[in-house]
Amino acid sequence: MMSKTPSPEKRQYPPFYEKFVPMAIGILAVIILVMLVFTIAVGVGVLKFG
Amino acid sequence: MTFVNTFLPFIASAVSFTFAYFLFRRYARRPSKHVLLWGIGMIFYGLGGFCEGFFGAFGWNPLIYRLWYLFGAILVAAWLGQGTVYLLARRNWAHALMVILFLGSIYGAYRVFTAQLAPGLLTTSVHTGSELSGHAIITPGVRTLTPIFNLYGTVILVGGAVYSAWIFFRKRVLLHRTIGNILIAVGAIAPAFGGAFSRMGVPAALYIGELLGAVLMFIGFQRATTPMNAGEPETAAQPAVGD
Repeated sequence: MMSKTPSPEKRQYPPFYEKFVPMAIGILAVIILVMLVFTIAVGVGVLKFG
Repeated sequence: MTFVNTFLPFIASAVSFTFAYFLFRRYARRPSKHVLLWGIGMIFYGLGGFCEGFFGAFGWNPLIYRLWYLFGAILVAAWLGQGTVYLLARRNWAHALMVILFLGSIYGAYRVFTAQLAPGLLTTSVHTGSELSGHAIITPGVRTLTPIFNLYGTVILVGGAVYSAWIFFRKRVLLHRTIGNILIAVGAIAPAFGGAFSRMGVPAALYIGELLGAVLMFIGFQRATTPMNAGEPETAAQPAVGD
């Protein structure tokens, strides 16, 4: 009977960064989306700029 | 002349030029197009800040205004973003976009330096004339260049940094690059927030945003290119279930 090969260690960042990094990335992604929508809205004339 | 509309932009300019020096030094040691373009972008950033400080210290000057609008308002984000294009995109795409950006920059320079200016209109914005804004340009079509260049540059620069941070996080490797890219992304967004708050009437918001942006991008780049100290863990290896 073949023995199981040991699973590789699962890498993780230190606990603070495990929470902080996805939160920061998520917030930045939302900001980029809002900026895109806003700029397109200004470009098509829905919003006034300046 | 006040501290915020004179010294703040001069400080931001100094930070930008210092950052550019580090980038060009890195380029001299290990040539790469993305570092070269970031260095050029930070020179533009520094020029924009210098012109803002000059305006705060000495008042209206048409040449300084045109230089500010071209480098600080139109080109800086796009050239920084183009550096990220060379870092992340395929070489052929990067070259093609570089040609477009270069030609667009020449066109933008022509439009800015042939535009009619009305300095009195600077006081029509909520900036009350103490900060530079595009309102002094009265030739149609010139100010519409700004959101095109800015959208391209900001989305690429911020999006590229966020994408890079995500890739490193997904693999749980190179924590210093994850942190560095997040700082770069925040720094790249800071001037946009500064401009938005400035439009809402918050004093000095634009220049604070620009200074914060330069500082954060500089710190972010240094963080991303400097591995963590020996005592700081890049990862915290977890034993697999069943060990």
